[in-house]
Amino acid sequence: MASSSSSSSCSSSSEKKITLKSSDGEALNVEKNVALEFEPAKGFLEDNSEEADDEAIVVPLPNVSAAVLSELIPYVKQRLELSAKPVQKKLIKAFDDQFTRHLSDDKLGELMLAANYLGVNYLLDVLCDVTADRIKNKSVEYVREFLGIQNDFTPEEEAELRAQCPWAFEGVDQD
Amino acid sequence: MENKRRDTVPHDVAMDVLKILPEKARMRFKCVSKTWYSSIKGTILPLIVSFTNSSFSQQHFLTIEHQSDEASHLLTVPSDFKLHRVTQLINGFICFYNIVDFEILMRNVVTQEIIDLPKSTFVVSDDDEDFSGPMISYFREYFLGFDPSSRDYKVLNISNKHTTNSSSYAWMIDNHGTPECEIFTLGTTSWRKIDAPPSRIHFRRQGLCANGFIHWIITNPRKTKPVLAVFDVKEEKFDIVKLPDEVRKNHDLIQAEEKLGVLDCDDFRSKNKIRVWILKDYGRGGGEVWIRRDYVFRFDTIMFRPPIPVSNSNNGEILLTEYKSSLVSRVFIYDLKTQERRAIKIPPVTEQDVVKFLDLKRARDFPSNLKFKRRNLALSFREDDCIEKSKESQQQFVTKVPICGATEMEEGSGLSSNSTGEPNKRPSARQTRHQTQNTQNDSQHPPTHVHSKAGPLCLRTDNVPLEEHPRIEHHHGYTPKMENLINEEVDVIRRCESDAVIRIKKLLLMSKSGTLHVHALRLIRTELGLPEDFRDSILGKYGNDFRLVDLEIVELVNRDENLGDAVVEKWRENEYREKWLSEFETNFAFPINFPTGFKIERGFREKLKNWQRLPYVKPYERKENVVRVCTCGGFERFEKRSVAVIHELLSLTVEKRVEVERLSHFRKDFAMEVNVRELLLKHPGIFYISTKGGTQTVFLREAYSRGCLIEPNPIYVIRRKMLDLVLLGCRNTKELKHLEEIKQVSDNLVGKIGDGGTRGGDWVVPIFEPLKNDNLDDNLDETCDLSDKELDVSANSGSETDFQVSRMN
Repeated sequence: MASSSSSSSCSSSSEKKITLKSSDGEALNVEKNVALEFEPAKGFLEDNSEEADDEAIVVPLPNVSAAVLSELIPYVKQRLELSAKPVQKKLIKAFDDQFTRHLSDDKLGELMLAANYLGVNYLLDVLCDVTADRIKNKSVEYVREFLGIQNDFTPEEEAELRAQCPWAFEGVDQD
Repeated sequence: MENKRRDTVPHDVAMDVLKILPEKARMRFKCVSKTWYSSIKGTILPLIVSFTNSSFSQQHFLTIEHQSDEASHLLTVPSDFKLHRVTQLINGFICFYNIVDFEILMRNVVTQEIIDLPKSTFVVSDDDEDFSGPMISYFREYFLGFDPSSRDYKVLNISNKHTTNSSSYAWMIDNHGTPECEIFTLGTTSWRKIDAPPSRIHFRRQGLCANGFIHWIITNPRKTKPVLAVFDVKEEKFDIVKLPDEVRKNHDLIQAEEKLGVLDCDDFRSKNKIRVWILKDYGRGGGEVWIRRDYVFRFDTIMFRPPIPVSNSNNGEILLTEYKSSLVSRVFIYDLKTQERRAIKIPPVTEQDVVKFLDLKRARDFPSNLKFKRRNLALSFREDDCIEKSKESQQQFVTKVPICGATEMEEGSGLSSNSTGEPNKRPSARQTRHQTQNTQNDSQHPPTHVHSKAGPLCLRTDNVPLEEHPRIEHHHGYTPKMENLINEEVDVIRRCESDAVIRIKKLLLMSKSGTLHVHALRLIRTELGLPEDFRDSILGKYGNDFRLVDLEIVELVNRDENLGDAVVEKWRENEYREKWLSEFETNFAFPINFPTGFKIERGFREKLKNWQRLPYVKPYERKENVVRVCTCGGFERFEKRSVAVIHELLSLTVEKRVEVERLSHFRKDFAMEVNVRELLLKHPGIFYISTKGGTQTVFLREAYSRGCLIEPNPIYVIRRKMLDLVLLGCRNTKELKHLEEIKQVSDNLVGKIGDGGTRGGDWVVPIFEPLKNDNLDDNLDETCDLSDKELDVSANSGSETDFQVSRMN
């Protein structure tokens, strides 16, 4: 996946490193430009810009686990490199596809949350597309579980709603 | 961890996902939660616009979000030759149809669902088509209607039934047929016949459904005032409503204030005003109420033409464009309520967008220029996975879709593609037939035979195997059998390379200057049995024999006089030797066999005899003489030479036939500057012209007997096998009977050699004897062996005709 190819470019860039601290306490070193892609980190860095030594800054990201972050960082790095060059949209799309193709549903949800929290909109768009694609033929129950939504309908209400448009429930994939 | 994640998926992220879901999924996910329910309910559905591109090859559907000024691409359907017309777009539903065929397809462009409508009851069955009685045809128009009270979608079919003997479409369109009507309610399984409208409907524009009524303007050819025809979707009744007195021209219909509006842009240029007449009350029987609304355009843009409505939503917006043909520029939405306008940006449609909808992987494999393949595209349309589900669920399915827009399509799209597409279909079907029949060379086929095969049904490839004759240039999927034959043909052609060389040499010898245009050769490449790449594989390979003077001109390096013997010479020698005819009679004669029933006029025999004796410059003689002969007033001789040249050319071909048109490419090179077609017709005893299909093909009479070549050659045999394979589907037999016969004949031939005979193709005295012979019913029976192959056979013996005649006797 993306992480393997990005390791080489990591060393070549002489960018300043920023340390990100995940929800489970792990510290990850990233280039500053990558860190700036994350809204909370960006805000944090701006707030603490008077500090001379960037190396010393540790940005806490309390809502993102290290596992997700380590998935995210190479993607963002790669994506930044791609968009810096005058590459075709196709290439970016191909890259996105490659990134999302192997994601499990759980991972997808986690990434979506992280992307939302970190404000990485381009990733969020991609993930939304993928999610929509995955759930479009799924049952209501599946979607509730997938997105973690509580069913707040009474059984009667739900039955009534379902009766309104039975056609919509035709041809639903097995969960 | 997992539980935590699921609790925290923010609603706005979920809504992002929701936005890109298809309609069906959205409807389903209303049940997910109360927030989802209200969110989904609240979404305002966009305005859907449909338009075709300038070449009418694609139908685009765009959506324009509420309050947005940019259209986004919904889907693009490649126009289908069969289904090139569209109805109004109502709530995402649209029908694709064809005015002369019964095919109709409904699809929901929002959910991308395909609904297969049952076959219309107005079908001309094959039994009706006996071609002796009048021809029955239907011109169909479909209208899509929506009844808001019952939330029913109905498709109205008004077909004008024409009964005519003529097959001319133009004539039929002018002629008023009898209207017949049927209706299909979505959710049911069949069409219902209903009472026809009181008068024939002359369609000028697409109908518009508003407020539960389908409307269309009837313009009378007799220049009387146009009136509005109304069809009540619920009651299924027709009615006529008068237009306001001020409306004189044929104006566009729009939907305004949830009612029907007539858009009047006459004052647009002078006063920047548009006027909409709204039909407030239908007032059965003459009490209709129209309300006038005037709108002023207070915009500074200069518009050169009055705007044309393209589509309108029911929330008071109309989409207008300045140019009808395309939606490329100057598209704007005018809000009738706020009287505001916003320009709409139409995104360019990319290749990718087209793929979005159809599984165009298949479609891409079919070049769009072939009708044949487009037809398959139509099939793939229908094969789409979604079809089977919709049958029972349609009723409920359609009733709950919120209204989101209605579209008027340009009328031009249907008409233009129809006028070009429709007539094309028949020739193409016929051509298929033609190829197969010509080889049989059976002049006795009644013309109706061609006709019945040329009907639209011929193109239905569903039940006909796709083996094709190689010259029908649709390289589709061949069956393994055909594949083998094709390979075999290539193989045989390669093996017969030396023959091909001799053929080209002979042709070059015939030419005035010893040169030929390669393009002319390429045109009769198949006929001559040359490989596809003969330019390289033959002309290039035999550099000692051929030289390319120019890129396109081939020259013979040295004249090989040994070849310089026309095929007809062999026959003459035979005539002379075997029949003891005088040299005077035989020296310039041709074998002549008249067709059965050929009417001999007085003096014809004498004329023919004189013609046969007429000396001429033989094809392989030096060409300086040609000019002399021509100028010396010997035009008849010159003509006879042309006959000889064509005769020789035909003898050189594999199947002893060539398309007449192609001959004209040799006119200059062969110094036969005469009207080839006329010349051929002048000599019906030598040439047989088949007019089957779109082209004329000339056959050498003497080479054929009973629809088969008398002396088959390997390439011919292969091609016959292909033909038999092609005909399998039609004949419904698995036997290759024909082929067996050929084999038998050719086997027998060998056995008969040496038996000798007394009658070759007797022409001189007993020219017409064969006609009197009761046993000889075929027009092409009396023949002699003049093929460039098996020449030795004829030299040694009588000919196989002897055998045939004796066998028949």
